[in-house]
Amino acid sequence: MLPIRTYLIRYLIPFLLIYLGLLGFSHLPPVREKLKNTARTQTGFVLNQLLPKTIFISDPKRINYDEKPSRITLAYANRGALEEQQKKGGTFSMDFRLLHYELDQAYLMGLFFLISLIAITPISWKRRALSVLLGSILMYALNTIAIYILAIQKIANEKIGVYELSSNQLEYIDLFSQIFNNAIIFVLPVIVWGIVTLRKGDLKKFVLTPTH
Amino acid sequence: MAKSNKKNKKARKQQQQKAKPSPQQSFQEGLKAKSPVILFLVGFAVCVIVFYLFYYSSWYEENLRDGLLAFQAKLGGGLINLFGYGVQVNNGIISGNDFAMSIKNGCDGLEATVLFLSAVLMFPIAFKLKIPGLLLGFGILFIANLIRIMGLYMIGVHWNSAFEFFHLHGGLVLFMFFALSIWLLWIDWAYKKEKKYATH
Repeated sequence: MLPIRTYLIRYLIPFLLIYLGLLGFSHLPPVREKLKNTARTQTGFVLNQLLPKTIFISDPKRINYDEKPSRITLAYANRGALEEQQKKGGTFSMDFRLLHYELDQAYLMGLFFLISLIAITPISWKRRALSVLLGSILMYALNTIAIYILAIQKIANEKIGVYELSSNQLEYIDLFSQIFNNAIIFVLPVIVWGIVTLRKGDLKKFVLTPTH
Repeated sequence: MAKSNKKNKKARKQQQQKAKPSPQQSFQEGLKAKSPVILFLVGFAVCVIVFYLFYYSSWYEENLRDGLLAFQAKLGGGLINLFGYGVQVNNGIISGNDFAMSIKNGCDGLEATVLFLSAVLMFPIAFKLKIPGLLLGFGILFIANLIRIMGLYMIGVHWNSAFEFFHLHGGLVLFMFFALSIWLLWIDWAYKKEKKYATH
């Protein structure tokens, strides 16, 4: 008989409490606002650096778009075309497109999943803290890559005159985006957990009823 | 006296310096401690990548996906009907009088199942101990996914506003954690069995 009760007390219940606690905390209106603003600014900055032929606007007041509470919206356009219009002066209209992503799915769920996994791993508090720090950095980098791929896919599909891809390349990007955006929630946190937390012999610490 | 104290201090300092490994040594030691874990993780990641390439291939989408989803919807619908909900299943859509839901890619529980199977396959332990884990784990996760479908349908009927929350967090994250838990329980069993074989 497997030690289900020990497993429930030691792993499942703490995991659920930590995950739901973090999720609940992230849904407090001031926290959510802060998280959204940080994610929005960071994403805008990173995308403007990585895709310099496009201009990304992350300020919601400038976008003037009524977005859902958990959704982040960025506006983007062809930077070269915009600068040309600006040089000509006078009034002009620029065709800005929108890029949306869900804060929970893109950043928070994977991160909270990872933190909950690290928290229930039977290692010292010092190692846990270090793992959370390293894991969060790694997850942030992976999440940013996922959004970068999403942006490339969106720009290429919208055909705004920059970053245009052949149908073959587009097929690969679509596939990669699908995989990455799915894996980011569940599979990558597990791999990151293994990288930052586990050392040789750690898995034996999970043994619930040691044999003597 | 003072001179000998100084000598002692110097000797102690030298000893401490000798005992303290250089950054290169500690990196190498860290890597050595991690190496089985890294090997396991690389193997695991390769399995998962291969699965994803298959899962999103046009061959899978054209030949397997719809059949598998319809099959799961049929079984899930049958399970829901055991509780007297009187649902009908058509083309992967479970529909009743008050609520309807569609079983789509990602609702099939395959990602969590493959994660579990890959983790068992790549785990550094005798293969004969992996076979029961693979078979039993697959069966448990398949049944658990049907229970998940049933649970989500019931939430949709009785607590519709919470459906999205349970679909995303309960249905996906919890199911993934469930798969990990089965893996940990298998490790628990496999280690004990290995120890038992070793003592005989």
